[in-house]
Amino acid sequence: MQPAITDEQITSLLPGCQAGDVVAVETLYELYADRLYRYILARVGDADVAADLTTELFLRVIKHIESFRLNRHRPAASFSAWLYRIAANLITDHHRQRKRWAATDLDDNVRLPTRELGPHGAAERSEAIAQLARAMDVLSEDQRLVLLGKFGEEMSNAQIAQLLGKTEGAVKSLQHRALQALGRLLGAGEH
Amino acid sequence: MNQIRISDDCLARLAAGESRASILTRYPGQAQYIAPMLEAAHQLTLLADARLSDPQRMRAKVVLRAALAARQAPAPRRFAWASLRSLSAALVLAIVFFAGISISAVAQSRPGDFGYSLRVMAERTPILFQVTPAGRASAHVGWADRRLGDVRALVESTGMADRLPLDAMLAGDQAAAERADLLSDAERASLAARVDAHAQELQLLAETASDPQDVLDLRQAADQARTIASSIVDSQERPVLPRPGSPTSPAPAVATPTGKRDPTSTPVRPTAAPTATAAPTLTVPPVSPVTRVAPRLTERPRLTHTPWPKPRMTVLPPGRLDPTPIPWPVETPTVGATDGATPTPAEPPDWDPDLTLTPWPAITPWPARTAQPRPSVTRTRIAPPFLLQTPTATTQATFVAPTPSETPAPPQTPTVTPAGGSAAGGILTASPMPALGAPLQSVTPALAPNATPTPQANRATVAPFSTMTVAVPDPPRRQTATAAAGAATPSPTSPPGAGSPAEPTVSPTVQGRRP
Repeated sequence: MQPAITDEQITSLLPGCQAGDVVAVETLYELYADRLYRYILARVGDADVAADLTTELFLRVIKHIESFRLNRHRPAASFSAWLYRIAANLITDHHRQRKRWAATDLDDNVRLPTRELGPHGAAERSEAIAQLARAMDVLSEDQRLVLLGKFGEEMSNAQIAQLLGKTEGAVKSLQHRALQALGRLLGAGEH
Repeated sequence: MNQIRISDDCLARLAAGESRASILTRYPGQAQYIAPMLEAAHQLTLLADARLSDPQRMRAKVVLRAALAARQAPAPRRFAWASLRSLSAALVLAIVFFAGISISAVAQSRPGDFGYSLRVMAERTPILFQVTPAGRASAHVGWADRRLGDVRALVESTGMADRLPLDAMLAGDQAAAERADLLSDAERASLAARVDAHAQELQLLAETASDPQDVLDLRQAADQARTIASSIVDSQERPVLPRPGSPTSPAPAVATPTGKRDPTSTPVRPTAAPTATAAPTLTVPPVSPVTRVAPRLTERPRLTHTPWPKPRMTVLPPGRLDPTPIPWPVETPTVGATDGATPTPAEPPDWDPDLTLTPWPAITPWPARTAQPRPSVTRTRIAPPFLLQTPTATTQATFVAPTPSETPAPPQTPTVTPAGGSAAGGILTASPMPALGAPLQSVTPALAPNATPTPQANRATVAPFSTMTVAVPDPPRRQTATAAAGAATPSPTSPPGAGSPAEPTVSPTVQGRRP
């Protein structure tokens, strides 16, 4: 489990990132890279594509970070929301480009990041993640963020509520409906 | 239990590491509902292990550093293009800005300013787009209106006048006047009125100007504008219409007293206006094309009153001025008019100051004589023989002193014998006689029997020829003739050389007093 990102971290890093400081930018990358990578992976279902999109996401962050205005009341939540919004737009662009070129990578199911798993286990894992990604695309953005925060980042409901700017009850409700929908989608996909 | 609470409890147990089968056994009645959720949650836990590999991280950091480096130092090429675009945009903006300022300055310029000439030229451009003569003339006058407005504004503000707008205004009016003959009557009248309005306003401005030189300039400009206006009016009169009385002679003929037209005469001065009305009885033969006044003359025919002397032969009683009007001769006394009647003068037309009779060169001087009885004179003076033997139009006058008891000299000698023999004491003076081609001796009897000298001294008006004195050897006679010649007004139309001593110029108009 990754430690939660605090407001002080964001408040201290943001000026350096806006000034183009390499150290600040790399620190920011270390804070958010895996989180955003998982979010992207849950959407695209391909580890390498998710890695490339993650890099591209940070390039966009560097390009537009000067124009970002931090919310002084909840700096970390506002900055995280801004990063996930960029990731969502990036994934949308990616899906649009894939539909346009109709490119199919035959090796998608093979190139899964597996170290402990063997080739068979890696294939199953890759297939499971690809199926999950297809199901996640059906959910709403809030449902996706709740599920990713809950299971990917292992965040508490309170943290997710702070990230999304919602109450914990709303987060529980979102989580419940999201799991119901996702279970139906995954069960229908299996059958 | 609430489904949300059940699912939340199941997730918490799953997160705590409890197996899915164990969780389902806790809620057997909800197993069908909980099982998909647990499966979905299990699938989602696969994402928790997903992380970027170290090579991926390193590669990403390299890319980010390169992006940061590019952000810190932009590419020179991009900077050059950006600078060029910025420079071009700034240049265009500067050009537009200064062009706007220049146009505004020129549009608001006043006489004396730097841009006023440009403004004058620019405002003249619309004239070029006028295709009709009326439109172009109106545009010229409109342009002159603007220049007059400039003059007015300048005089009203500073009391000074500038020569440039004045000249431009006159140029505009003149340009309009040059097209006046192509316009209709109404258009010409309107044009003349507008130009005349310019003259009037200039006159008013001259009264308000402070500088004497400016006042003079304004007045001169006003005079020139009036002249232009009058020229426009004159252009209306150029078309020569046939006169009602003489449709065959529409052109102004050179009216000679003899009623004859000199075929070789050309109008040296086109002074005869179309409106001139000749005497009703004056027979003017059809005018040859040579004598026609062309509708368009290079020298504009102006109707001017030429102070033309009207030498008249008048026999008046001595010491008495004849207040009666002098009759206008219809024709010169002809040969054979010896029936005792003086040349019957027709009723002279009302003197039209516009009518100028140009006798020259149709008239050949001829000395006329009028016998005026003077009781004190008893002698006879005979002109030199060379005068008596040249009865042509160019001969010298021969004077014969009237002697009541004396018989006229040779037939060729134009001897004047006072009628009734009561010319004693009359003064013999000479009056020019137009040359009719008749011999001299034929004229003499026409006058002699009709001369009804009164006891007073008669008087004769002598045409301007001072050379008459040449033929008179007698000093007293010379004095008389010279005085008479001096009293006469010289003919302004006498050709050069006609007044030579040998060829006296004679006024053609010979008017005798009605008996």
